[in-house]
Amino acid sequence: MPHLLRSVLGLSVLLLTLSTALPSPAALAEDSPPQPGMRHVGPGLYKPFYPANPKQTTVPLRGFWLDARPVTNAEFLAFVKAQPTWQRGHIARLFADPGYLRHWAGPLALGKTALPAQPVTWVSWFAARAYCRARGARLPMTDEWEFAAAASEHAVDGRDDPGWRERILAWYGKPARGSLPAVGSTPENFWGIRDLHGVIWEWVADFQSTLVAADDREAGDKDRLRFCGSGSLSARDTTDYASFMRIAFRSSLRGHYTTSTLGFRCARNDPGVPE
Amino acid sequence: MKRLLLPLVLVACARTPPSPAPSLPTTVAPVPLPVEASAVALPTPATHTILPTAEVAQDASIYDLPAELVDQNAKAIDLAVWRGQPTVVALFFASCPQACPLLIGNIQYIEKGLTAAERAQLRVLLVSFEPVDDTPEVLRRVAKKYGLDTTRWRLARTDADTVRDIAAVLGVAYRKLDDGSFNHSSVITLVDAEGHIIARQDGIARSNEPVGPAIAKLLQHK
Repeated sequence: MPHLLRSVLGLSVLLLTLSTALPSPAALAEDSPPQPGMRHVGPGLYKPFYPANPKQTTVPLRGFWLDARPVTNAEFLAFVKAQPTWQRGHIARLFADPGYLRHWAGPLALGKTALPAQPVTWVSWFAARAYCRARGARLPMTDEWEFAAAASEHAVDGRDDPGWRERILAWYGKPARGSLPAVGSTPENFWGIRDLHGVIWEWVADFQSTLVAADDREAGDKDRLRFCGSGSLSARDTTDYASFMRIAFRSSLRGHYTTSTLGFRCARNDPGVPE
Repeated sequence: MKRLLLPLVLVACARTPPSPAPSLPTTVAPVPLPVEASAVALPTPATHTILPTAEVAQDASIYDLPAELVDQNAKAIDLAVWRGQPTVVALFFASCPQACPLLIGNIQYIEKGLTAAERAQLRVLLVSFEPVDDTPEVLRRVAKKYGLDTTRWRLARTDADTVRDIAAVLGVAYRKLDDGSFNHSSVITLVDAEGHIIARQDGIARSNEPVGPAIAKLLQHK
């Protein structure tokens, strides 16, 4: 595993050259983000809330880089200035519904209802993908996003901490009113990532994977095929309502949908690993 | 804007039928669940058998999606390969045990319901979920196995990223499994000469509705 090797080598160098205490894993990986503002997440053993195979309760997840905060209006404005086909009014109807960037004052102007430091919302999956691609990055996969978002301030997996879970659930229960806070308003989690909870919903690359249930090659008749396709799933912890809500939300999306509270951030593989 | 509404049916198969489970979040029964693998129904659908209705915009053309494909003859094509003709588009994969044979059989069933003249105008594009294993040779074998008229049918593969795009414009849910196969929704999509989605139907249930009549109607207006 090249990244692990690099980390070990990096650690050795640090130990040789510095007499300070061991840096935290996050600090170690932070020395060379492939793009400014990214933080290293993982590698780790991810316990999916909704495993592809019910028998596989842990998935080894490769390390990756994730934006420390969601993409902002200002950043998205720079993108559409550079790529006019993604401007409001120019974007193909296939790629965004009529709500696309509706809170901006104009196709190339943010205005009062879209502050530069607020997370960009009213963006479709296609547009979010195009933004990340233009940056040489990509959208995170569901597993990656959830792995990063499972971390509390102090632990890789905070999901078994009732207090942490309740804080997150409290946000989901709060009606979205008023304007969004500027990005970076919530505390850093274990990996140094902010705003995964408490600000907006976020697109993932494989949002379409959410509604698919477990497979069985010996499935019988058509009705059975249909019936069991209803979306039975093997949930890791059926009291983790916030995870259920994200599954429900993602499964309701289409690639061209936009909403006032749906934004995104980008991810990248470790250097040398093809995207 | 007229919206076409279509219930998508998931093709997936659990070893055990899903247990009746509560909706979320407020009505989850506070029963302690001792094992991790408890079958729970997904929260959104109103019924057990059908996915939420998918919205399709008629003023959007799927041909606006830049998507490079390779067909069964290893020829580079794009999603708009059949531009100019009414075309049925669907996603499948060659090693799919049940749903995809049903899907292909269903498209053939729709074709049988057309007149010879109508059939001659119809085109079919099947795109594989599987970017690696479904080589042109494998796709040729599928065409042969089902006796597909390759003057009107194209089978194609593309990279994983483009599969994601195509699935998104067709409203297809899918997930790759550990064993290399896919769970996926099964849907037959009819587009007009310019790639606008005209009709969609379940890929599994043997029926020509509504795609069959929509083809005939499109050709009348041509």
